[in-house]
Amino acid sequence: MSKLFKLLALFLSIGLVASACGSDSADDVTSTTAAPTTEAAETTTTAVELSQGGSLLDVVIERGSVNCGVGATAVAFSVIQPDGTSAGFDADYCRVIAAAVLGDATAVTFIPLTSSERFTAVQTGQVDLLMRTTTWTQSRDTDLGMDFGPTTYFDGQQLMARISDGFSGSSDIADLEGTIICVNAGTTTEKNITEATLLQGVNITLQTFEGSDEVYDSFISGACDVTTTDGSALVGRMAKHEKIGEWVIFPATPISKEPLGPVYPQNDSVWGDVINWSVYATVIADEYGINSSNVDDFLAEPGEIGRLLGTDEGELQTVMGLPADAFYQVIKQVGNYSDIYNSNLNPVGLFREGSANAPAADGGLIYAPPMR
Amino acid sequence: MTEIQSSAGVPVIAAPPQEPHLPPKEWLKKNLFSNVGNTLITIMTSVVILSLANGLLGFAFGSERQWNAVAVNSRLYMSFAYPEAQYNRIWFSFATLLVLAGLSMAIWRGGTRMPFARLAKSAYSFGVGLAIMVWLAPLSTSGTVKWEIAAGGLLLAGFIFNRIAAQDEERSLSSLTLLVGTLASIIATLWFIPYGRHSFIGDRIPQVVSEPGTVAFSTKLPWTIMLFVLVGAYYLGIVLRDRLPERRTRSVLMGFWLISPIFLIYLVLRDPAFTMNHVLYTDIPLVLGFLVVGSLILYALTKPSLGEIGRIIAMLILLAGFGSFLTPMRMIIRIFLIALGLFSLAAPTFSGDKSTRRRYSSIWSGFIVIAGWLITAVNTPSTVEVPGDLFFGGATLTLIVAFFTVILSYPLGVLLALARTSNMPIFRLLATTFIEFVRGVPLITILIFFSVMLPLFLPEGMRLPEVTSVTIGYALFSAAYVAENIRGGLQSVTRGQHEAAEAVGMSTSQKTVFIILPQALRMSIPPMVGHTIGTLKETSLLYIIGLFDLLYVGRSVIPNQTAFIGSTRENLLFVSVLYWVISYSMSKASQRIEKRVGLGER
Amino acid sequence: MTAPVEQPPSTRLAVAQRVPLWRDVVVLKWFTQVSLLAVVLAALWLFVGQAGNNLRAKDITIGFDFIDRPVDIQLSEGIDTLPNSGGRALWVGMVNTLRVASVGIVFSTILGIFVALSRLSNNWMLRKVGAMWVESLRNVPLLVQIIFYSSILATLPRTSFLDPTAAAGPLNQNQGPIHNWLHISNKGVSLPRVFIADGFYQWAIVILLGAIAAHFVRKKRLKQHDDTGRETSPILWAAGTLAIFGFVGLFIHPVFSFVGPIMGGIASLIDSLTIPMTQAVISIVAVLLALRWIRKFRTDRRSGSGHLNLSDDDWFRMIFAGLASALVIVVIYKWTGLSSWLLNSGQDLFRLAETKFNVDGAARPFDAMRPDVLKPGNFANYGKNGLTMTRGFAAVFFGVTFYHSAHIGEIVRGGILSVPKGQVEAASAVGLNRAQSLRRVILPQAFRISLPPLGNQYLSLTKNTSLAIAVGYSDIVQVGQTIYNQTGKALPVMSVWMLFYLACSLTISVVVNFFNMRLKLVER
Repeated sequence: MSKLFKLLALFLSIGLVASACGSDSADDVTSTTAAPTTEAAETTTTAVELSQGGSLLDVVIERGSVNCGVGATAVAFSVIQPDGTSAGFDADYCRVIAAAVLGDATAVTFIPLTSSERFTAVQTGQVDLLMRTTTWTQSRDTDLGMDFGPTTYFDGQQLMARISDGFSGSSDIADLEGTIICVNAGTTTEKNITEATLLQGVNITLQTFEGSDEVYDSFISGACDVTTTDGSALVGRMAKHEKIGEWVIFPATPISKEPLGPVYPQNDSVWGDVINWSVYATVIADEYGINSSNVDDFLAEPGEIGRLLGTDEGELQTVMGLPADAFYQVIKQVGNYSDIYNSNLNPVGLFREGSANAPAADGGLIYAPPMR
Repeated sequence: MTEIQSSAGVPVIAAPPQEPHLPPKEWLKKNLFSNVGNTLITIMTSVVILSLANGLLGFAFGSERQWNAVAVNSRLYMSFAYPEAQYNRIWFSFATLLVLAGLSMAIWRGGTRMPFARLAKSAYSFGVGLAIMVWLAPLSTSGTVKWEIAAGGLLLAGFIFNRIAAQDEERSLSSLTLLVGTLASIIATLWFIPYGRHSFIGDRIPQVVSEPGTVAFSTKLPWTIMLFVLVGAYYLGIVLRDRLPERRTRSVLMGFWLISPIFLIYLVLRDPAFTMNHVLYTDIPLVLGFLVVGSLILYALTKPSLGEIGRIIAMLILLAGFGSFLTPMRMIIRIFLIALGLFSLAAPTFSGDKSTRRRYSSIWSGFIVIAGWLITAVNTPSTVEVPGDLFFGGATLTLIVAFFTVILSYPLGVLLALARTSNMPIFRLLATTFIEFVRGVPLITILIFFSVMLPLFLPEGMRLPEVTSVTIGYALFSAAYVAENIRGGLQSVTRGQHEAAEAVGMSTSQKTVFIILPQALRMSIPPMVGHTIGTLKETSLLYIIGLFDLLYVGRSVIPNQTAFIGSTRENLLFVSVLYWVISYSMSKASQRIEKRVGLGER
Repeated sequence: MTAPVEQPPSTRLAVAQRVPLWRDVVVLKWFTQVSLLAVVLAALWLFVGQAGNNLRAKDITIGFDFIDRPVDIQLSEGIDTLPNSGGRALWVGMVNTLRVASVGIVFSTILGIFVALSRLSNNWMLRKVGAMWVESLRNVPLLVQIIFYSSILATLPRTSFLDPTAAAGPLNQNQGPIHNWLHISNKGVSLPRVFIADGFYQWAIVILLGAIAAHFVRKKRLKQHDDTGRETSPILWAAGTLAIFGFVGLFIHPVFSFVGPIMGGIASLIDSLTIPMTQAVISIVAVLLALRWIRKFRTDRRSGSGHLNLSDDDWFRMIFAGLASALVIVVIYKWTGLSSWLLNSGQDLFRLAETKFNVDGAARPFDAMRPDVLKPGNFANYGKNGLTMTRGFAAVFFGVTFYHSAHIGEIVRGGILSVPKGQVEAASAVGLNRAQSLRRVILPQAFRISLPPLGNQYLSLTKNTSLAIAVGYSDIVQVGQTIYNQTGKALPVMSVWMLFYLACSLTISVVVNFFNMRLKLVER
């Protein structure tokens, strides 16, 4: 028996020592694990580079490519092509940044992200830039350690239904009584439609699916009466449906505002300026009608065009840390806003005329501050 | 989750006695129309089968199906975004695996003799089946004619085989010859028939053009080379088999099989950009130092008469290893120290005469070289530029996740099984809790947990790629099932074996390592094969957490491409068929091998 | 589990006298175990601490407050599609999971038996069909199958019950393959629904009594069989008794309205209990249980002659038992909420039972309704009257049923084939015909062999219903994911998932083990 107590005492004291050590070391967990962390991080991310201070711009120039977070399944905005590269409106804006910073529109590393990963990817520095149909909201801008650039596409949530079910362009939420509505799970879309119908006291059955493909599949086959998501995606789908004129998108005023644009890490105004002004450059070029095929004709022009193309000493661009001909390269290699818009979005039936994405002069919202 | 449906519970069924060969008429009467009820059943099932086949074929070959979505995207399916310029690396890896396969087939004397009579029978039945299917399928007239000609060819082959069999009952064909012949004819068709009718032009504004020139068409040369590689490796294997000691060759080959995927992934496919300075002045000296010092220590520690002092040294090394986490130090040193500590702790188990001790030291040397190289390779950035973390995708990701899950879960499973059957209550408690907990929850919840929550459990600034964290979760999950399979094996080891081992004076660990485990592992091979196939199938769950596995590519990526919007069903069908082919052939092959080697029996 | 290998007493004593503490095998063993436990606990603690830091840094709170907070969730189907709280939503998800799992278990078993029988039939065609069924379904991942079925079901006609020209309001119901009784479309299948009405709980008491009566009848018939040796079919008699009770109960169930007040009385009794009393009772029970275990353990260890010899291992075990009871006491006193929760929930349970019995005496135990199709706005959908199997449900149901029927078929086939041939021959030798020998000799033995793997199949089927998330069926995983996407409470939601599935697994394995034991007892 006495040996037993000795043993117990031994265990107890070991346990005490262990717990004491444990509580000491718990406070400096981060310091002790920092060493292995850096070694693990070396391989994968730019986290280390970021922490050294300075702007992401220098990091990108040194690396020689832009890490751009995109989507994988957003029709016409960013999809993965048969050869594994990304293509689409958002993907082209990644190329715009690469052309501006590195003079080479192909120097982009596309990183397809799921919607749950995307913000973490910006926060941890996995991507320099996020172009993934991300809506600019106050909470995202203020909370999550990231900043939003100028809106490249003004979108809004709408609904799509069949004309044969009695829907028309002037239908609204009140007409949804008794419908089965299909949406993507875990998106703001789901929350918006729930809120809107609850507010009006309309009874609906909401079916949520993991992927947008399943949503459209269900809608096309008629298992769902109505589907809802951002208007651009609806138009895209409708254009691809063989029987045009069978479906209708409503209400005319979207039930939510979804301004989509670039996202980049917070507190890096040098990098932020580069992105903002690269986007503005495409808009300004569009205002002057400068596109990739005729840009060389404008090289001799004075004034704002000269400042844009960098022929005017290019001091505006060099101050930002870019080459003098940065925006010339953007327009030459990728194009102006209209080029990018039309080549990607026209094929799926989205046109600028009359939409919110028309130039400000034509009553749209696409507008850039002056370059001087 | 779709827990690996091992057929463990199903007792092995004795092979039915060979049926006497009946003339067709009698055979039909006996098997299909023996009485009224039987005839009715036959007619009813035939009708059901034909209408089902009709529906399925109508679905698969209907005019609205966009099969070119699959054809154009075959690269995306197989290797995802791996750059085309670096494709030689993929072909090299594939060739390496084929060489191993060829060698193994020769050295394990794979393949059986197939009598021509049986060949004729299967050729006939395939031919008739194909003819009926073509008749049911809504093909164009020319398509129908072509396929009916193919069916006729099969029937003709059956007829020829039958004639050969009629001349000499004993004549038979090696199944390997048949395999190579089939492969060769498929590859030969690549040279003549333009399979794809669409090609993809990758550009800023990509295009799909409807003109021949597809993956299948452009890769006829590599595939031909692959065939020659396979055949060459087989003949090399035959030469080696006759020259070298069989047992050692086999174990070396097994080792190659285990190492090759890691080698291929981290050296060939990733092509790490080693910086010579770092490698020469840091990594190599480190590995060499550990190799020499470690070997000496282990050689000393395996001396049988050493006694107490060995354990104390081992504990000290282990303590140093754990203690190294308190001071800043290279991670590789910590890992090596802990490994050395564990090796020396296990040393008494492997003590013996000089050659045994030398072997133990050389195992350590091999371990340290491979581990050192691997750690360096993992920590070196790749030169192959692929989008983001997605080094792999599609079928490659599926296979790689399955491989690493299996590799990680087997040792863990063995440890868990040992802990669960040990006589130490706390070990038993921990192992049982873990196993029962994991077996009680679905795989998907574990995968979601590891993809969503694991980043929160990691220290500040440390980031694991999602694939890695999910693979860790999957391996832990799988380990619980492996442990249960092994436990079954452990329990089937008879008490006499335990007693005999104790009688010759073995320590508990020696008994476990040298007597019990080998028998238990051998017993648990059949359920483990089932488990492995299940693991491969279940990787499809990666789709739900948004990793670009085979299913994700087929379900979400391709049906969103501008050219192929909504091509969901054909892609799903393709993915199902691919999964089916892989797991069916794996299970058939393993069954055949088990039967031949007599595994799982005592 | 192997029994722990005890050291013979003499060696142990000798060792204890000779060997110093740090070489004593027992001490070393326990030292390793305790240090491993310490390492595991420390690692857990470290991870949890780290997670706490990270969560604080990201402003994520953990806590179960979402359970009774309102959430903006609409579920596609279930007992409540507009749940007013997170807890209610999860509950709906759980019911949905259980619904599809239980239906799946029943149908996969039936289908599996058919598959096994067809694979063993002497008709070549049927054998091949069975083999094709098994080989094709077993080798395609279940997730792929579920998604595939879902997209196939979407191709069913939409218009089968939709008439765009019909006026608004309730549709003319003469539609569907069987007018008024069955509707099929890509929105699902709608069948007549039989449901539990207000009088059900009273009727349940009749059934309970019937079960007791059936038990006695069965016993009596069994005894008669043993005495006389005649065929007395006890099971048939027991089932008949139960059926009679059930039928009679349909008419006399209002008699049992008096149960309500009794339940109310129990609830008031619980209400009068105080927290200290509960704490004391639980503590006493814990101590008693520990003491009982220790006493039993000591009795077990006593040799035939009554001599007690205990190894150090045994002492440690007893100490751990004591520690466990102490832990229970500490928890129960430290965390007063637990006791009050126990009291409250106990009271709620009995109050609920009281209201269930306090119903109008004329209420029927069951009621039935025909499926309805409503046209509230511009077009038609299934109403709430019918038993509607939605597309999501159907996809999951077909997926798990087909997939597991292939596995179950193989298990049953293996079981049947493993019955020794001698048994069949012996059966025919004693004059049983083929049907009799199948029912009396082959199937019972086959069932005994295939029961444990069957149990595993049921377990994995239940867990596999979680793949519903891919096709939009509101099972617990899908609902949970929606909740944590909206509230950010990933950890609490995941713990609810895991607890739920653990509970399901535990229930199924308890049931299977029960039958397994019963069958084992029959074995000689």
